[in-house]
Amino acid sequence: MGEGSVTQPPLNRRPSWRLAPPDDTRTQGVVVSGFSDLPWAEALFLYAKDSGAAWINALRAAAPITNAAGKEKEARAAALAFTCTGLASVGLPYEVLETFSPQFREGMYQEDRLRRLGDKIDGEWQSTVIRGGPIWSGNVPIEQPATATPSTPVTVHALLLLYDKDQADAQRWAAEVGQTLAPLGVTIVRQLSLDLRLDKGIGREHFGFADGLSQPIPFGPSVVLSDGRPSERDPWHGVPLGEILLGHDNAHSEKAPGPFIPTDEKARADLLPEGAPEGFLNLGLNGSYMVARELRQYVASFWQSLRTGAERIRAHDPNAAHVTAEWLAERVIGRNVDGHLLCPSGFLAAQDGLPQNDFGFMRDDRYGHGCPLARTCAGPIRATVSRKMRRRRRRCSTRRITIESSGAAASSAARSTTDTGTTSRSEDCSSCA
Amino acid sequence: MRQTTLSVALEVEPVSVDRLSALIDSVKCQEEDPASGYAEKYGRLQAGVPVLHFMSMSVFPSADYDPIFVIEANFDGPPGVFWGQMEATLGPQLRAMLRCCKKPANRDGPLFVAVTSPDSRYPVAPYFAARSLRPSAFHHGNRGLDRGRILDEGRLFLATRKALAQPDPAAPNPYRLMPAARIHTELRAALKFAFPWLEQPASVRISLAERIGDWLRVAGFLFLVLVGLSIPGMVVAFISPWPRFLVLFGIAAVLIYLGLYRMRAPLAGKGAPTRSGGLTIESLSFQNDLTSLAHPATLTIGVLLFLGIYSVVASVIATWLGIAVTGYWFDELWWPSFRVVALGLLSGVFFTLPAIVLWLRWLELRDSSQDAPPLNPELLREMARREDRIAQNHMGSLVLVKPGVLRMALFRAGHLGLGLIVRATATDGYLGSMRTIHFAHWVFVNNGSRLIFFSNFDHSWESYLDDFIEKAHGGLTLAWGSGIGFPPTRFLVLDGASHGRQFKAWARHSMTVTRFWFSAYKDYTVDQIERHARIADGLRKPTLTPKEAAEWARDL
Repeated sequence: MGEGSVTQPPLNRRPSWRLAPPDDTRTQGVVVSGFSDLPWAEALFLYAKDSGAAWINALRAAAPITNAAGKEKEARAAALAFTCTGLASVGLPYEVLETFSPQFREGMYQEDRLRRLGDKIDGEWQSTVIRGGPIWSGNVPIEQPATATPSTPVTVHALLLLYDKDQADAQRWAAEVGQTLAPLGVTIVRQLSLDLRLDKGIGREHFGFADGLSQPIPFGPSVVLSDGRPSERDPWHGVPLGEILLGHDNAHSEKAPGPFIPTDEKARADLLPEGAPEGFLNLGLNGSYMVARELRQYVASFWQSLRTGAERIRAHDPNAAHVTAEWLAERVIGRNVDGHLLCPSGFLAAQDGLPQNDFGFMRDDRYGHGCPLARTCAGPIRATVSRKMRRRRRRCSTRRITIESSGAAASSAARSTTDTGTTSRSEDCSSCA
Repeated sequence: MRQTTLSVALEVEPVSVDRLSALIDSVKCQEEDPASGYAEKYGRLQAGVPVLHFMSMSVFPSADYDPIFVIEANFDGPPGVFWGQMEATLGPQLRAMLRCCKKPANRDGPLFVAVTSPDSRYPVAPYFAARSLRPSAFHHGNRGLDRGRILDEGRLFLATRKALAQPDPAAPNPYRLMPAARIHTELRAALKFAFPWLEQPASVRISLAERIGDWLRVAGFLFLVLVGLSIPGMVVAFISPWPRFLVLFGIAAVLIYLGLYRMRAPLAGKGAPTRSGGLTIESLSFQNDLTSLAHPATLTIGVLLFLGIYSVVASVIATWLGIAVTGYWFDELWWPSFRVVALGLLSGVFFTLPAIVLWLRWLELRDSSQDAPPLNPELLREMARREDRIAQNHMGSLVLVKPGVLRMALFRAGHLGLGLIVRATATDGYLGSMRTIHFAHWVFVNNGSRLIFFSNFDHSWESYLDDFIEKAHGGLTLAWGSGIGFPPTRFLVLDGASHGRQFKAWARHSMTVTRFWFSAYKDYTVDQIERHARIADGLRKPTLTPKEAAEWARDL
């Protein structure tokens, strides 16, 4: 547990973290683990037309959701997240949906969010988005003027992730789940195969760079280390658990607020009142928000552009024979292909054979002599993007499919497909796990 | 050049709110109209008011007051020039807006009538000048850079990019083979004809006199604070022998410290411990630079020196006052005056100040905060629609101020002190480690019963407030903590804004839609403007040493 998304557990020198009972059994496993022992996965995007909630019980039988206890290696694992419209479709009343965060209720298609993300500006889809706009989303009901929430052809109510040891097993399991749900009116409207291929123990994103190196380390009363010690705040990577998990102390010294549901006959008996107002049960306790965004990387174009750039630099500077496509790519990523950070003297030395990650740019590379400052690459606006942000963005943008829990957490599932096609595609949905 | 920040807050006739909003929107539409005859949006304002950096127009609704119309302006030089340029550029529009406002009940009433009467041609500038409010605390990013210089240096930066680039992908780029000093020489030679001002030295951003004046104002403020704190002790010192005085105040101080100790903890569930920036007990270390106040020896010497100077200056003033009142000679009054001042200072630091803090803490423990401020979804939507369109953003907030003499005294004094200290210390273009604020200020309205905050900042509203919460929560809590509904505070500067989510909700609740907003350099962040300035400063110099050139070249 807590070993990160794509790096093999034995390569992590830190003790891994896990949730303490009873929170471990009340939390989905995907929040704390990337299931690195289960390298194959299928992502099923589900749509439930007038099906009510009956299909959930059937799904629980066909694909039991894995919790975060992780007492033994799982033979296979499953995770489930709902969109706002998905929760409405299973009967959650509007008053309860209102208690979810605005971002979840609005979805990725809220007009201002599209603009802020650079997807759609002044009514025009940007070049980073597939022609005609994304294919799928939660299709949140239009509450504002029609321009506020454009819809997608495909509506997703839930995202089911199925992890297995073998590709065929994962696909077979997905087919079984599909057959189970079909009679109940639930269809798989989109399916993506995900896989994790380790190269000498290192997970790599599509461009070939080591990934999953910089992971948050949660701390708080509900977190214990694998050796049984209580967790302490890591000065570099420490993140209060409440930044990842609802109902726990967050960075603002409060319980991360989540949705709650009235205490009535419809409320589930296993929901707790802990942290909810009088007369309500805490629906969000030990839950998390997840963002699913489908991306496609132009691997060939990426390397071709760097080759062109390197040639140009060499032509401009006869002394720059060392500038190759890989040299440039390292400066785009901030690390070399094996994950070692760029620093003024070259690369930060490995520690125990692994990339060092406890590194402060202000202290050790203030002027970007090792890892270039973003400002060297563009005009005034881009100039202020900090390298810290770039590091974070890089992690998010270099996977074809990235599924992250909210906040700084990226320890959830993160797999990449092997498809490196040439068409651009970008779909997204907000979900609650 | 010195920049000026001011606000004009005018009460609006309730029935005319929609009309006023429409007039403001119409000015926005005119400025953004591609057929306006100007090369780019806001070209009329850009050309007509060349001193203007940022300006906003907002209408704040309120459940407790009639709406107010606020113009916030940040510009170069004195207000007279600015209002004159505004009159020439937007005079008719401003006059129409004034007609939607109430006639002031004070002596500005006749002026209002003269300006707003039908077919009036009386200039509006004097009225706006008369109604202008000075901020209670403010910060100017990129301090000392006038608008023309910011734009010129921005153009120079783009020219350097062009000069350094090599359009031919196959030909060598001569700049790549040069040492930094040579790059400087060549670049300067290439650009000095297009930018002849490179031959002239840059104007001093903050003159020595201004810096000295800023620090003298801080010293004057602290002097008055000490005088205020010393008054109770000085009154008693007149009639009490010093041993009795010390015993009396010693016992009182111990009782107060006991009270403070008992009240030190936050209310259950209301604490928000956050690591604080700035000068704190944790930041004191002998490892720090000797010139820094974070070095214990420097701090101790500095404090003792200031208290010593205070004692002497205050004693001299007290002696001369005594001479004026009694007719005695200086040497007859000096030692009695010094004794009173010294005992007053002692009591002020060890009794009055803790007593005030105890009183404040007593109030804080009984304060109410608003856990879930109501947010109008439509208003939120309107705000979101206007945000994140360029690198900069704007916010305007209006809050009610908590009542009570102590609150108001501390609030006013806190704003004054904060403003003076920020002015004296934030001289490098930034506000400490916050590098995203162009212009921000607080201003009291309605006889101090309400507080307005305006800020023109870089990046998103969320990240801006996160910056405050993480880096400047103490100052922010001091400046805003006496607003009604503000998250629970402790000892005036603790907790408060550290309740991040609650604070953001409170801040958002207090905001209104910025109906009109102008930025003279919408593509430039504070950081980028400083970078432009460093490049330009280097290019103004005919030569640089290799070390200077290497530092200068980092910004290219």
